[in-house]
Amino acid sequence: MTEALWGLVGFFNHLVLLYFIALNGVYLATTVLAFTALRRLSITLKALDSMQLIGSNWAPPISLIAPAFNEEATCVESVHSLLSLEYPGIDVIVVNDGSTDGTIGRLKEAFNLYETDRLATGSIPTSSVRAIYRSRRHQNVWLIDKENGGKADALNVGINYTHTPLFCAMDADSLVEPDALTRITRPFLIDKDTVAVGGVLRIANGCTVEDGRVTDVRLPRNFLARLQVLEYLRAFLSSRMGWGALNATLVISGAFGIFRRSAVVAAGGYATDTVGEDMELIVRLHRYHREKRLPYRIGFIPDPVAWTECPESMAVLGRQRDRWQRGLIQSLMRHRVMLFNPLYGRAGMLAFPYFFFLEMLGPVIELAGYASFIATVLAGRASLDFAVAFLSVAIVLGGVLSLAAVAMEELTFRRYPRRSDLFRLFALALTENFGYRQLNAWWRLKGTISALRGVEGWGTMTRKGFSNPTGETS
Amino acid sequence: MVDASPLTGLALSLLSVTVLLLFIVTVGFSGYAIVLRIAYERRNRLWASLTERWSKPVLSAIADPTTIPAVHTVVEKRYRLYFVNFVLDYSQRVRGEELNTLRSLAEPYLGVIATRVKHRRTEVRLRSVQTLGTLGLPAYEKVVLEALDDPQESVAIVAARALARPEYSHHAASVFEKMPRFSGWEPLFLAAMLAEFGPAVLPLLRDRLRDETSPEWLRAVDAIALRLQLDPRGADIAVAALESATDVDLIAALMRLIAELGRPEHLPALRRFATCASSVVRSEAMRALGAIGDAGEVPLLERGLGDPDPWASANAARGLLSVGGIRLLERLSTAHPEHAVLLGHVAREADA
Repeated sequence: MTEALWGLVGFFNHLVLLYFIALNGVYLATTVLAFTALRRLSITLKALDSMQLIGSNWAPPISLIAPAFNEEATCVESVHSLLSLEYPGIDVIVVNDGSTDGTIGRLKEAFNLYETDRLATGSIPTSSVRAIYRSRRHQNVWLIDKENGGKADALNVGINYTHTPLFCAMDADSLVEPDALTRITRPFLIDKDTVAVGGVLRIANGCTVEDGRVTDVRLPRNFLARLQVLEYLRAFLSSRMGWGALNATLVISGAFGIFRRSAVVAAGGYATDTVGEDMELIVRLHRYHREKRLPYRIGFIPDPVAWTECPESMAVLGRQRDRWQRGLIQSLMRHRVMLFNPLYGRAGMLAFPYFFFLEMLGPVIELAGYASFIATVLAGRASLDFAVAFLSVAIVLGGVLSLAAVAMEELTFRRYPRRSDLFRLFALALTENFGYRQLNAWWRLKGTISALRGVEGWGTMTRKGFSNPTGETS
Repeated sequence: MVDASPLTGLALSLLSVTVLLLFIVTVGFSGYAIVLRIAYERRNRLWASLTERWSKPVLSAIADPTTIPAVHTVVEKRYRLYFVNFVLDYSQRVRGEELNTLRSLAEPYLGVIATRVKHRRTEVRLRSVQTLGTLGLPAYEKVVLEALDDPQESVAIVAARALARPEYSHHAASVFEKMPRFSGWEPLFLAAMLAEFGPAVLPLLRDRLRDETSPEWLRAVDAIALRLQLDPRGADIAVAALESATDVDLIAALMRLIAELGRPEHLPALRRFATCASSVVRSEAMRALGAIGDAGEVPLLERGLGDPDPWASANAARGLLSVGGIRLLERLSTAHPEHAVLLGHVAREADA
């Protein structure tokens, strides 16, 4: 009986090894693809000025939709930051999602808002709109006050009142770089079938922010935040860039992405019954266009940058990862028809299976695998070859991928000007696989359990605020 | 510890060795990145010192072009490409005479750039064509013209953009000929580029819009360019083109052209599109009927108020405002309470 049990454990250990080979193999493949694409892109960017190419004659107007819920402290600064973007035609639409603090009052006062009408151009079902305001100071600033319905609902309201062909979905506290819009519209220029483009999200913790702009980039002091810097580099520069190169992007961050309004409306807008509305929309856009046999492209480009604040405490980070995992599971389960379905092209045949088997089921396999591996080693039933191979693939290969992501950042964008920060990033790449990765798997496992239990809601996300040059936080 | 079977052991060992090799390669790659960082910092320091050295004389030359030869004396031969880049960066911020001064400043060094437009690396060709297009015309006109045939679309479009100026309208035909290469590009961008040639390009645009053998997407680009050029004859051609047009984008572009530059006699050609299956076309039809129509179009526009497409119904309401004024909207609000909100919106929109 015991032997049979150990036999099963041994079999499982080999399955876990295969899982790690597959997971890190895919990472490696996307890293290689991303590296090629990044090199080409960064050199082209150095060679060619986007704004000069686009010029002011062709700059499609963009509506910036910023959902706000209890953003009293930061909403005015955020809108000022959006108004300072270097782009010829923007509408700023702040959607107040039933805030219970003084968000509306602050905005009314700061922008001299008056109540008016705005023509609805879409009819995505949403919570009811209470009032629409327009600024006397800036004719392109609008505030839509609505009943609380969540971020997706607020974005849908914004889309319903968008009058421009493109819109930018963002978090109210995202800091978008001044030239990010110019850069992110480039794919719409060179390919008229482009329906959505995502940009890179970077961590603003530790950076200096002045007037809504990141003026000094440096690593955060908080260790947990530093680890997330590395994680974001890997996720955006290696993974998303690689999937983008394959035209199989399944995720565009809700904190910064540009969409063709007509395509999103046709696909039905954001889903309000998921906590992963950003991923769900992208998956649905793939489905919609493939099923209707419409030409489309969903892209990702790494140079338009938005900055965001990441959690600095284990509790908040854990809740965030729990929510991300639930969002992932909800999106994948809802669209499981795409799994290995050739109708959906590379999205269905490559990206979807990767997310389904390796990202969605990953935490379960990974944590069970660690437990089983440790038990096997402690019982003296693991061969040395197996133990070394397991640690190589699970730990060392993870470090290889993180190192590669830092090196790619360094070879292309070099956003961390201090040499000490670069060395710290390399050191983190070697250490993050000891503990942090496993902790992440644990949070994601909890997210999986929450999803199975049907837990809803976002959980509380506390923010510290950005640092200004005096070191104070706002 | 137990022993794995020989075959499994071999496979596992191979796996470990592969990972180890990958690790070594990545560490090497990281080391290379650090070396490049050091080189990059050195280059940045050099660039900063060159910028400091050149800024003052270049600014003086912009203020007083007679000092241009003096600037050339401070540019060392080994830094001439840096200087061209410096001037190119500056050129994004100036126009007119100041830009001409920058061209004169760069002129002695552009020969080197011209040799790079056939470089095997795309980015070098891109940069060279952009530099010559900004600073080297008309002297390097021929080189830029040849770049229209570059195997890379991006290089060709940079060349086309550089030539798309009224003073080079004699090259418009060459650019027109290459347009089919850019079929994936955004039509409005292409149209804006063609329109920058100025009025001299109007005959070419009109001819191709008339030509039913041309691809419809290209004719849509021409229709947009004619609208951007405010060509009144374009509306007559658009009306004729509507007869055979099948592509939604072309029909929409033609109607937008008629809406902006058409005359009442064009109305009969538009009316049938008010009930077209495509919401984009219906919306443009409403816009055009309202823009050039009169009280005779009210019944059609009134029916458009009930269009399921919000853009079409809004354009119908705007059209009613245009042909009948605010009083008509008030009267219709009473007659059709179901459209009162929309009509009220449009009235206030006009008021704002």
